[in-house]
Amino acid sequence: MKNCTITILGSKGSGKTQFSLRLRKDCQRLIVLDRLMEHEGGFVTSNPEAAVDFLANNWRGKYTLVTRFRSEVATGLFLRYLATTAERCQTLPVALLVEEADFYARPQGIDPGLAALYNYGRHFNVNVIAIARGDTDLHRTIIQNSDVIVACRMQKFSTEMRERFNGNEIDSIRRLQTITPAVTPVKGKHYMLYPDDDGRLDVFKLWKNAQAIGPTRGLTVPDK
Amino acid sequence: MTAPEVSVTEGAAREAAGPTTPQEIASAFKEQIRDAAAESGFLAPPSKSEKTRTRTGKPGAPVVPLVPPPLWTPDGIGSVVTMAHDMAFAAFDVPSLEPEEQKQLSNASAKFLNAAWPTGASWEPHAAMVLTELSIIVPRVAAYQMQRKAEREAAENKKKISKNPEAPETVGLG
Repeated sequence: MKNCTITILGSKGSGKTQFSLRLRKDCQRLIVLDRLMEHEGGFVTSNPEAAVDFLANNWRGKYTLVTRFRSEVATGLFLRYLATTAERCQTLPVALLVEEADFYARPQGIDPGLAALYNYGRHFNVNVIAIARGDTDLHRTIIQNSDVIVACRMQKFSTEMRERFNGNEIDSIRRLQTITPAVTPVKGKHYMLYPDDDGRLDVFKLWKNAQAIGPTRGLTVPDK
Repeated sequence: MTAPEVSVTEGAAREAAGPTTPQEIASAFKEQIRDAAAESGFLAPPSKSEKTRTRTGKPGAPVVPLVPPPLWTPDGIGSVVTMAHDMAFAAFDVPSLEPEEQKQLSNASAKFLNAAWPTGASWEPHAAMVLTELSIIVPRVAAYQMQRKAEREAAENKKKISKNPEAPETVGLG
Protein backbone atom coordinates (compact mmCIF):
# COMPACT_ATOMS: atom_id res chain seq x y z
CA MET A 1 0.00 0.00 0.00
CA LYS A 2 1.56 3.30 -1.04
CA ASN A 3 -0.87 5.97 0.01
CA CYS A 4 -2.15 6.13 3.58
CA THR A 5 -5.35 7.67 4.88
CA ILE A 6 -5.97 7.61 8.60
CA THR A 7 -9.03 8.57 10.62
CA ILE A 8 -8.59 9.14 14.35
CA LEU A 9 -11.67 8.96 16.55
CA GLY A 10 -12.21 9.44 20.24
CA SER A 11 -13.88 11.48 22.92
CA LYS A 12 -12.33 14.63 24.32
CA GLY A 13 -9.04 14.13 26.07
CA SER A 14 -8.64 10.61 24.71
CA GLY A 15 -5.35 11.33 22.94
CA LYS A 16 -6.43 12.04 19.37
CA THR A 17 -4.28 15.12 18.95
CA GLN A 18 -1.34 13.47 20.70
CA PHE A 19 -1.61 10.59 18.25
CA SER A 20 -1.62 13.03 15.34
CA LEU A 21 1.41 14.86 16.75
CA ARG A 22 3.26 11.55 16.69
CA LEU A 23 2.30 11.11 13.02
CA ARG A 24 3.36 14.69 12.28
CA LYS A 25 6.99 13.87 12.97
CA ASP A 26 7.26 11.81 9.79
CA CYS A 27 5.83 14.47 7.48
CA GLN A 28 8.10 16.59 5.33
CA ARG A 29 5.28 18.41 3.59
CA LEU A 30 2.47 18.95 6.04
CA ILE A 31 -0.68 21.05 5.83
CA VAL A 32 -2.83 21.33 8.96
CA LEU A 33 -6.41 22.56 9.04
CA ASP A 34 -6.27 23.76 12.59
CA ARG A 35 -9.51 25.51 13.33
CA LEU A 36 -9.18 25.37 17.11
CA MET A 37 -5.52 26.41 17.30
CA GLU A 38 -4.07 23.20 18.69
CA HIS A 39 -1.04 22.95 16.40
CA GLU A 40 2.04 25.09 16.25
CA GLY A 41 5.24 25.23 14.27
CA GLY A 42 5.88 26.12 10.65
CA PHE A 43 4.02 28.83 8.82
CA VAL A 44 0.84 29.69 10.69
CA THR A 45 -1.79 31.83 9.00
CA SER A 46 -5.48 32.56 8.97
CA ASN A 47 -5.32 34.31 5.61
CA PRO A 48 -6.20 32.00 2.70
CA GLU A 49 -4.30 34.19 0.23
CA ALA A 50 -1.14 33.92 2.30
CA ALA A 51 -1.64 30.17 2.65
CA VAL A 52 -2.07 29.70 -1.11
CA ASP A 53 1.01 31.87 -1.77
CA PHE A 54 3.08 29.93 0.75
CA LEU A 55 2.03 26.61 -0.72
CA ALA A 56 2.72 27.77 -4.30
CA ASN A 57 6.20 28.98 -3.41
CA ASN A 58 7.13 25.89 -1.38
CA TRP A 59 5.21 23.31 -3.36
CA ARG A 60 8.07 20.89 -3.82
CA GLY A 61 10.08 21.81 -0.77
CA LYS A 62 9.81 20.87 2.86
CA TYR A 63 7.26 22.80 4.82
CA THR A 64 4.68 22.83 7.58
CA LEU A 65 1.67 25.02 6.91
CA VAL A 66 -0.83 25.52 9.73
CA THR A 67 -4.02 27.18 8.56
CA ARG A 68 -6.52 28.68 10.94
CA PHE A 69 -9.20 29.94 8.59
CA ARG A 70 -12.22 31.45 10.21
CA SER A 71 -14.49 30.84 7.25
CA GLU A 72 -15.76 27.70 5.58
CA VAL A 73 -15.59 29.52 2.24
CA ALA A 74 -11.89 30.19 2.73
CA THR A 75 -11.27 26.58 3.75
CA GLY A 76 -13.22 25.33 0.74
CA LEU A 77 -11.23 27.47 -1.68
CA PHE A 78 -7.94 26.43 -0.09
CA LEU A 79 -8.82 22.73 -0.32
CA ARG A 80 -9.83 23.20 -3.95
CA TYR A 81 -6.48 24.85 -4.61
CA LEU A 82 -4.69 21.95 -2.96
CA ALA A 83 -6.66 19.37 -4.93
CA THR A 84 -6.15 21.20 -8.24
CA THR A 85 -2.45 21.77 -7.70
CA ALA A 86 -1.85 18.22 -6.51
CA GLU A 87 -3.52 16.95 -9.66
CA ARG A 88 -1.70 19.22 -12.09
CA CYS A 89 1.70 19.60 -10.47
CA GLN A 90 3.32 16.35 -9.47
CA THR A 91 5.04 16.46 -6.11
CA LEU A 92 6.35 14.25 -3.36
CA PRO A 93 3.90 13.08 -0.70
CA VAL A 94 1.90 15.81 0.98
CA ALA A 95 0.19 15.16 4.31
CA LEU A 96 -3.06 16.91 5.09
CA LEU A 97 -4.08 16.86 8.75
CA VAL A 98 -7.72 17.83 9.29
CA GLU A 99 -8.44 18.66 12.91
CA GLU A 100 -12.11 18.56 13.89
CA ALA A 101 -12.95 17.01 10.54
CA ASP A 102 -16.66 17.18 11.25
CA PHE A 103 -16.46 20.91 10.53
CA TYR A 104 -15.74 20.13 6.89
CA ALA A 105 -17.32 16.71 6.45
CA ARG A 106 -20.61 16.38 8.27
CA PRO A 107 -22.74 13.31 7.61
CA GLN A 108 -25.05 15.49 5.51
CA GLY A 109 -22.36 16.88 3.25
CA ILE A 110 -18.63 17.17 2.66
CA ASP A 111 -16.51 19.99 1.30
CA PRO A 112 -15.99 19.25 -2.44
CA GLY A 113 -12.25 19.89 -2.24
CA LEU A 114 -11.85 17.55 0.71
CA ALA A 115 -13.98 14.92 -1.02
CA ALA A 116 -11.74 15.15 -4.09
CA LEU A 117 -8.63 14.76 -1.94
CA TYR A 118 -10.12 11.72 -0.20
CA ASN A 119 -11.38 10.07 -3.36
CA TYR A 120 -8.52 10.81 -5.75
CA GLY A 121 -5.71 12.09 -3.53
CA ARG A 122 -4.01 8.70 -3.59
CA HIS A 123 -3.18 9.29 -7.27
CA PHE A 124 -1.48 12.58 -6.44
CA ASN A 125 0.51 11.57 -3.34
CA VAL A 126 -1.83 13.25 -0.86
CA ASN A 127 -2.11 11.46 2.48
CA VAL A 128 -4.90 12.58 4.77
CA ILE A 129 -5.45 12.33 8.51
CA ALA A 130 -8.90 13.21 9.82
CA ILE A 131 -9.61 13.73 13.50
CA ALA A 132 -13.11 13.67 14.96
CA ARG A 133 -15.04 12.59 18.03
CA GLY A 134 -17.06 9.81 16.47
CA ASP A 135 -17.53 8.05 13.17
CA THR A 136 -21.14 9.14 13.08
CA ASP A 137 -20.00 12.77 13.01
CA LEU A 138 -18.26 12.25 9.69
CA HIS A 139 -19.25 11.92 6.08
CA ARG A 140 -19.20 8.42 4.60
CA THR A 141 -16.49 9.47 2.11
CA ILE A 142 -14.00 9.74 4.96
CA ILE A 143 -14.84 6.41 6.54
CA GLN A 144 -14.96 4.61 3.19
CA ASN A 145 -11.57 5.93 2.09
CA SER A 146 -9.77 5.38 5.37
CA ASP A 147 -7.04 2.77 5.27
CA VAL A 148 -6.81 2.73 9.05
CA ILE A 149 -9.28 3.89 11.68
CA VAL A 150 -7.71 4.62 15.04
CA ALA A 151 -10.29 4.46 17.82
CA CYS A 152 -9.26 6.06 21.09
CA ARG A 153 -11.51 5.98 24.14
CA MET A 154 -15.01 6.67 22.91
CA GLN A 155 -16.95 6.79 26.16
CA LYS A 156 -16.22 7.04 29.84
CA PHE A 157 -17.90 4.88 32.46
CA SER A 158 -19.03 7.68 34.68
CA THR A 159 -20.87 7.86 37.97
CA GLU A 160 -23.94 9.08 36.12
CA MET A 161 -23.96 5.92 34.02
CA ARG A 162 -23.56 3.80 37.13
CA GLU A 163 -26.74 5.29 38.52
CA ARG A 164 -28.68 4.59 35.37
CA PHE A 165 -27.98 0.86 35.08
CA ASN A 166 -28.75 -2.13 37.24
CA GLY A 167 -26.15 -4.59 38.50
CA ASN A 168 -26.21 -6.99 35.54
CA GLU A 169 -25.97 -4.19 33.04
CA ILE A 170 -23.06 -2.62 34.89
CA ASP A 171 -21.25 -5.99 34.86
CA SER A 172 -21.81 -6.27 31.11
CA ILE A 173 -20.45 -2.79 30.53
CA ARG A 174 -17.44 -3.51 32.72
CA ARG A 175 -16.69 -6.68 30.74
CA LEU A 176 -17.00 -4.72 27.51
CA GLN A 177 -14.61 -2.09 28.78
CA THR A 178 -12.14 -4.69 29.93
CA ILE A 179 -11.84 -6.24 26.49
CA THR A 180 -11.55 -2.86 24.81
CA PRO A 181 -7.97 -1.60 24.68
CA ALA A 182 -9.28 1.90 24.12
CA VAL A 183 -10.39 1.90 27.71
CA THR A 184 -7.90 -0.37 29.40
CA PRO A 185 -4.50 0.15 27.73
CA VAL A 186 -3.01 -3.04 26.33
CA LYS A 187 0.74 -3.05 25.72
CA GLY A 188 0.85 0.65 26.48
CA LYS A 189 -1.58 1.61 23.74
CA HIS A 190 -4.47 3.96 24.38
CA TYR A 191 -6.16 3.14 21.10
CA MET A 192 -7.34 0.27 18.95
CA LEU A 193 -6.95 -0.09 15.22
CA TYR A 194 -9.36 -1.12 12.53
CA PRO A 195 -9.20 -3.31 10.46
CA ASP A 196 -6.30 -5.06 12.16
CA ASP A 197 -5.59 -5.06 15.87
CA ASP A 198 -3.56 -8.21 16.44
CA GLY A 199 -0.19 -6.54 16.44
CA ARG A 200 0.66 -7.06 12.78
CA LEU A 201 -0.47 -3.61 11.66
CA ASP A 202 1.95 -0.86 12.60
CA VAL A 203 0.17 2.34 11.75
CA PHE A 204 3.24 4.48 12.34
CA LYS A 205 5.32 2.39 9.95
CA LEU A 206 2.54 2.49 7.38
CA TRP A 207 2.34 6.26 7.64
CA LYS A 208 6.10 6.67 7.45
CA ASN A 209 6.27 4.54 4.31
CA ALA A 210 3.49 6.60 2.74
CA GLN A 211 5.56 9.74 3.33
CA ALA A 212 8.56 8.25 1.57
CA ILE A 213 7.09 7.24 -1.79
CA GLY A 214 8.40 8.97 -4.89
CA PRO A 215 6.61 10.61 -7.81
CA THR A 216 4.50 8.14 -9.74
CA ARG A 217 4.36 9.59 -13.25
CA GLY A 218 8.00 9.28 -14.12
CA LEU A 219 8.69 12.89 -13.16
CA THR A 220 11.80 13.87 -11.30
CA VAL A 221 10.90 16.13 -8.45
CA PRO A 222 13.74 18.01 -6.81
CA ASP A 223 13.53 17.78 -3.05
CA LYS A 224 14.89 21.04 -1.65
CA MET B 1 15.54 35.53 -27.11
CA THR B 2 12.37 34.22 -28.63
CA ALA B 3 9.84 32.02 -26.95
CA PRO B 4 10.01 28.34 -27.90
CA GLU B 5 7.59 27.39 -30.61
CA VAL B 6 4.54 25.45 -29.48
CA SER B 7 2.60 23.30 -31.89
CA VAL B 8 -1.11 23.91 -32.32
CA THR B 9 -2.01 20.57 -30.78
CA GLU B 10 0.28 21.09 -27.83
CA GLY B 11 -1.00 24.62 -27.29
CA ALA B 12 -4.61 23.47 -27.36
CA ALA B 13 -3.83 20.73 -24.89
CA ARG B 14 -2.13 23.21 -22.56
CA GLU B 15 -5.05 25.62 -22.78
CA ALA B 16 -7.52 22.86 -22.01
CA ALA B 17 -5.43 21.78 -19.07
CA GLY B 18 -5.39 25.32 -17.65
CA PRO B 19 -2.57 26.67 -15.53
CA THR B 20 0.13 24.13 -14.88
CA THR B 21 2.38 25.61 -12.22
CA PRO B 22 1.49 26.11 -8.55
CA GLN B 23 1.98 29.85 -8.93
CA GLU B 24 -0.36 30.10 -11.93
CA ILE B 25 -3.01 28.09 -10.17
CA ALA B 26 -2.48 30.19 -7.04
CA SER B 27 -3.03 33.45 -8.89
CA ALA B 28 -6.32 32.11 -10.28
CA PHE B 29 -7.45 30.99 -6.83
CA LYS B 30 -6.37 34.23 -5.16
CA GLU B 31 -8.80 36.10 -7.40
CA GLN B 32 -11.57 33.77 -6.26
CA ILE B 33 -10.51 34.25 -2.64
CA ARG B 34 -10.64 38.05 -2.98
CA ASP B 35 -14.09 37.87 -4.60
CA ALA B 36 -15.38 35.58 -1.85
CA ALA B 37 -13.80 37.77 0.84
CA ALA B 38 -15.48 40.84 -0.61
CA GLU B 39 -18.81 39.05 -0.27
CA SER B 40 -18.42 37.45 3.16
CA GLY B 41 -15.63 39.59 4.66
CA PHE B 42 -13.62 36.68 6.07
CA LEU B 43 -10.32 38.48 5.44
CA ALA B 44 -11.20 41.13 7.99
CA PRO B 45 -9.12 40.94 11.18
CA PRO B 46 -10.74 39.08 14.08
CA SER B 47 -12.67 41.20 16.49
CA LYS B 48 -11.21 41.72 19.94
CA SER B 49 -14.14 39.97 21.54
CA GLU B 50 -13.76 36.83 19.42
CA LYS B 51 -13.16 33.83 21.63
CA THR B 52 -10.30 31.48 20.87
CA ARG B 53 -9.36 28.23 22.49
CA THR B 54 -5.85 29.37 23.38
CA ARG B 55 -6.84 32.49 25.24
CA THR B 56 -4.56 32.90 28.24
CA GLY B 57 -5.02 34.62 31.56
CA LYS B 58 -7.83 34.58 34.02
CA PRO B 59 -11.32 34.65 32.57
CA GLY B 60 -13.09 37.93 33.07
CA ALA B 61 -16.23 38.32 35.12
CA PRO B 62 -19.36 37.46 33.20
CA VAL B 63 -21.09 40.51 31.83
CA VAL B 64 -24.47 40.78 33.53
CA PRO B 65 -26.58 43.89 33.00
CA LEU B 66 -27.30 45.57 36.32
CA VAL B 67 -30.88 46.36 35.39
CA PRO B 68 -32.33 43.65 33.20
CA PRO B 69 -34.51 44.94 30.40
CA PRO B 70 -38.22 44.37 31.02
CA LEU B 71 -39.56 41.40 29.19
CA TRP B 72 -43.17 42.47 29.49
CA THR B 73 -43.79 45.99 28.17
CA PRO B 74 -46.82 48.30 28.41
CA ASP B 75 -46.83 48.58 24.61
CA GLY B 76 -46.75 44.80 24.16
CA ILE B 77 -48.62 42.82 26.74
CA GLY B 78 -50.26 46.00 28.14
CA SER B 79 -52.04 46.78 24.90
CA VAL B 80 -53.17 43.15 24.65
CA VAL B 81 -54.64 43.33 28.14
CA THR B 82 -56.52 46.59 27.43
CA MET B 83 -57.83 45.20 24.17
CA ALA B 84 -59.09 42.11 25.96
CA HIS B 85 -60.82 44.28 28.55
CA ASP B 86 -62.44 46.41 25.85
CA MET B 87 -63.71 43.32 24.07
CA ALA B 88 -65.15 41.91 27.28
CA PHE B 89 -66.81 45.24 28.13
CA ALA B 90 -68.28 45.49 24.63
CA ALA B 91 -69.74 42.02 25.03
CA PHE B 92 -71.53 43.05 28.23
CA ASP B 93 -72.66 46.46 26.91
CA VAL B 94 -70.35 48.14 29.39
CA PRO B 95 -68.52 51.39 28.55
CA SER B 96 -65.00 50.74 27.27
CA LEU B 97 -61.81 51.94 28.95
CA GLU B 98 -60.88 55.62 29.00
CA PRO B 99 -57.41 56.54 27.61
CA GLU B 100 -56.09 57.20 31.13
CA GLU B 101 -57.45 53.88 32.34
CA GLN B 102 -55.88 52.14 29.34
CA LYS B 103 -52.49 53.62 30.20
CA GLN B 104 -52.87 52.71 33.85
CA LEU B 105 -53.92 49.15 33.09
CA SER B 106 -51.10 48.66 30.55
CA ASN B 107 -48.44 49.83 32.99
CA ALA B 108 -49.88 47.81 35.86
CA SER B 109 -50.16 44.60 33.89
CA ALA B 110 -46.62 44.92 32.49
CA LYS B 111 -45.23 45.65 35.95
CA PHE B 112 -47.09 42.73 37.48
CA LEU B 113 -45.91 40.26 34.84
CA ASN B 114 -42.30 41.45 35.09
CA ALA B 115 -42.37 40.87 38.83
CA ALA B 116 -44.37 37.66 38.86
CA TRP B 117 -43.07 36.12 35.68
CA PRO B 118 -39.60 37.48 34.96
CA THR B 119 -38.58 34.52 32.85
CA GLY B 120 -41.48 34.95 30.43
CA ALA B 121 -39.93 34.58 27.01
CA SER B 122 -42.50 36.09 24.71
CA TRP B 123 -46.03 37.27 25.03
CA GLU B 124 -47.37 35.85 21.78
CA PRO B 125 -48.40 32.41 23.15
CA HIS B 126 -50.18 33.98 26.10
CA ALA B 127 -51.94 36.55 23.92
CA ALA B 128 -52.98 33.77 21.56
CA MET B 129 -54.44 31.81 24.48
CA VAL B 130 -56.39 34.84 25.73
CA LEU B 131 -57.72 35.59 22.24
CA THR B 132 -58.80 31.97 21.83
CA GLU B 133 -60.70 32.09 25.09
CA LEU B 134 -62.30 35.39 24.13
CA SER B 135 -63.29 34.05 20.72
CA ILE B 136 -65.16 31.26 22.53
CA ILE B 137 -66.71 33.37 25.28
CA VAL B 138 -67.61 36.62 23.47
CA PRO B 139 -69.97 35.19 20.81
CA ARG B 140 -71.90 33.29 23.47
CA VAL B 141 -72.20 36.38 25.66
CA ALA B 142 -73.18 38.51 22.67
CA ALA B 143 -75.88 36.01 21.66
CA TYR B 144 -77.15 35.90 25.24
CA GLN B 145 -77.26 39.72 25.34
CA MET B 146 -79.18 39.89 22.05
CA GLN B 147 -81.65 37.31 23.30
CA ARG B 148 -82.16 39.24 26.54
CA LYS B 149 -82.62 42.47 24.57
CA ALA B 150 -85.21 40.86 22.28
CA GLU B 151 -87.07 39.43 25.27
CA ARG B 152 -87.14 42.87 26.89
CA GLU B 153 -88.47 44.47 23.70
CA ALA B 154 -91.11 41.79 23.34
CA ALA B 155 -92.20 42.31 26.94
CA GLU B 156 -92.46 46.09 26.41
CA ASN B 157 -94.49 45.63 23.23
CA LYS B 158 -96.84 43.29 25.01
CA LYS B 159 -97.32 45.84 27.74
CA LYS B 160 -98.08 48.58 25.14
CA ILE B 161 -100.60 46.36 23.39
CA SER B 162 -102.39 45.59 26.66
CA LYS B 163 -102.64 49.33 27.39
CA ASN B 164 -103.94 50.25 23.90
CA PRO B 165 -105.79 47.33 22.26
CA GLU B 166 -106.51 49.45 19.11
CA ALA B 167 -102.92 50.08 18.44
CA PRO B 168 -101.43 48.19 15.43
CA GLU B 169 -99.89 44.89 16.26
CA THR B 170 -96.09 44.85 16.45
CA VAL B 171 -93.97 41.78 16.21
CA GLY B 172 -91.10 41.35 18.56
CA LEU B 173 -87.86 39.63 17.78
CA GLY B 174 -88.39 36.92 20.37
